[in-house]
Amino acid sequence: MFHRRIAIAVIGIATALVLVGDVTGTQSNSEQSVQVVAHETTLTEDEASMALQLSSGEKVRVTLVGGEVILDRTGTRRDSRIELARYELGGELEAAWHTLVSEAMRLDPSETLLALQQWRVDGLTGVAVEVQRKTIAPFAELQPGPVMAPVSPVGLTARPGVPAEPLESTIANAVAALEGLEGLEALRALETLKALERLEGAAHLEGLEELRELENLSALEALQSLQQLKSDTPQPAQPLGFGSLAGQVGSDLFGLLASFIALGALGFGLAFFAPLPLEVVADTVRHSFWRSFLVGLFAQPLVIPLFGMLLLGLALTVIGVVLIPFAVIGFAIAAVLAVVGGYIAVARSVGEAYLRGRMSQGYTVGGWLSYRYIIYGLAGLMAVWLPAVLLGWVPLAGTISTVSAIVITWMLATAGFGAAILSRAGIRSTFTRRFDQALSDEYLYNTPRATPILETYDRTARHR
Amino acid sequence: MTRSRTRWPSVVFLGAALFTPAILSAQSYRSVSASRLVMGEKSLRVDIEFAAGKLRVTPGDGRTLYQGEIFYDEDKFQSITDYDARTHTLHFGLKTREGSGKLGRLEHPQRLDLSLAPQVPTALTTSLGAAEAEIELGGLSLTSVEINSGAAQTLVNFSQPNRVDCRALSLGTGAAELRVESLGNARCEKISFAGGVGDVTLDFTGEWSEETAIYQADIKLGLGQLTLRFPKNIGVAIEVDRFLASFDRAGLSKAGSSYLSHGYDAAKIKLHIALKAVLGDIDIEWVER
Repeated sequence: MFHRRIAIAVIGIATALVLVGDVTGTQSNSEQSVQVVAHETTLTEDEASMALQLSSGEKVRVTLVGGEVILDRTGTRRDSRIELARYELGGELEAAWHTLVSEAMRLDPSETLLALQQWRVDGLTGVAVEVQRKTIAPFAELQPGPVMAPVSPVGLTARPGVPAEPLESTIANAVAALEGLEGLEALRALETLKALERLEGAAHLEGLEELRELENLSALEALQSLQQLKSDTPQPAQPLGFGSLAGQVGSDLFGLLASFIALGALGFGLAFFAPLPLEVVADTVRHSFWRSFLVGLFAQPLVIPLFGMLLLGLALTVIGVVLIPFAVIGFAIAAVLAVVGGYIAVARSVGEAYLRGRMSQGYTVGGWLSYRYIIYGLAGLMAVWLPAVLLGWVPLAGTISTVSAIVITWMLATAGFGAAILSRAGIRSTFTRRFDQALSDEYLYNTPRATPILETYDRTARHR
Repeated sequence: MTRSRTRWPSVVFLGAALFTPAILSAQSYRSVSASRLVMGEKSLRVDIEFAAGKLRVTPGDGRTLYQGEIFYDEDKFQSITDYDARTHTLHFGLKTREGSGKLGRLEHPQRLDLSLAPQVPTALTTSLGAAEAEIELGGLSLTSVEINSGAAQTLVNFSQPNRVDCRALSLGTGAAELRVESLGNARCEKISFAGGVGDVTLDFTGEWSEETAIYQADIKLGLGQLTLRFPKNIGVAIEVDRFLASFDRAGLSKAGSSYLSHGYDAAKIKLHIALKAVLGDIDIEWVER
């Protein structure tokens, strides 16, 4: 009987303890679940507010503005805004609140809560004390959130382990990655191989089928350059055999022919779409060659500064920055057209001179004269490259012929560029051929002396 | 005729009377701040938007996830201090107020100070307008960084190594002066820079992580001066695509289509750079570390 009572008492005490534990546990949990996790402050000349964000999502904000202490509760189901009290504008309370808000800007949320709860203003009396109490009342029961310890100086976080792939498949992937790659990508793939310590000992790779495929890859060139750089010993020059020599000359000839076709096609395009400007530029070259050359010569160094100034000018304006890509493209097209178009105009001029000479000797020339001029002229101009192509492999003659071809082509292109500038891309014909007196004389037959056409004989009648 | 002559001074006077107070009225400035405790976040996304003024970003002491303060002209600008606790995304900054018209001259310089928790892996995005920025990212845990500046003077510094591996660092400038120091500490596998017009210095010194064998950089510059500073202990390979831009090959040798630094092959850390420039100068400087 006695044991039974003791057992009942123990059970009762245990039950009571469990219940008490549950209650206190619930209370502490509820306290822990609503904590101050963040804060915001706002400060202007006539407004200062402090807001604390709770872990429940609720935000409690107290604002002192226009003589009113306002409490906002947001983030709950029913947001509310109430006036807590009224304060004296420009008084000590307002000044102290502004100071508190200002200081809270540099505090963390827990420190801010503590500062709010401990906020006291000395010298307040009467109503002001009550206003102060009401101002901080919404924060009085709040709990601070957990504050982490300051972080120690940099300690690198360990990288998670990566499961290793089978070596064979890794090598195969790396080798496969080399296929068709050039430059940095090839280098990167090679580095991957090297990282696997398979490249240094080529014997490891020789057993693989993929190695043979490497022979035709451009990546090998990068590898060879790399190895050469590493050993720092320049490779000896390999003497060329007849076959490779013929191949090189043939390749150069093909390149020359391709350039001729490309320029011819461009010339056709210009002659078709802009026959008159092309003719004007060509005439300018023909009749003012040295003037065109000098203009082109002086204009060349100015191209890049002009381009820079254009971009700088655009960059300095707000709208202009947007136009920079278009300006770059436009300027590049204009510059290329001026040089290449000028060169084609020179070719046209040369072709015209040649064919007119043939016609004056009684030879018959077919139709499509304008196009013929270009083709004949281009053939003539590009013929200067034939010695360079054919004799390029001969030590001295090759150098001389190549340099000569470069200089002649540069001079002609410069003259064409200058003519394009002088004629304003073929719009202005000031520097073209002069009035042909011989052709005009027949029309002067029986013309009265006072006719104005005689003025054309006078050089001063032309404006330059 | 006489009537119109006598009328225009009064019109001018009336106009002046109407508009002068608006011009002379004092700008009203506002300070806002926001701070949040670290609550076990596994990641953080930070979007900083800053229209004009002085910006400063620093690593915090680790107690707060972020702590920021903005001082600005509230008539023309609007502050942003939004944090989404669900996605762990902070949107912080200053944007132009709609309909504020011409910004004009500010009486006081606007500023934004923001510190971030060093231990929380962070993806950082920054958009700058007409700003003067000092961004110290050393010692943070950055998983990715993107910094875009319009007409800004920007200094980005990684004074200490990044605590985590960084996927990518992306830098973009309009017409700006940009200096990025100790990029090696950023430990980003891929670094990209795209600039319109400006004076740009990319300093690749720092403690490169040997866990990544090859780092990649993609650099594109329209017009301006680009200075690349490399430490001598890393291997550098550069592939250059340029138009009307000079390229200083100091310390580099041509190999295939690339330029390789001396000692490239023996270097444990390798940096591959694809460089495109339209107009300007590309200078290369070598430093001990």
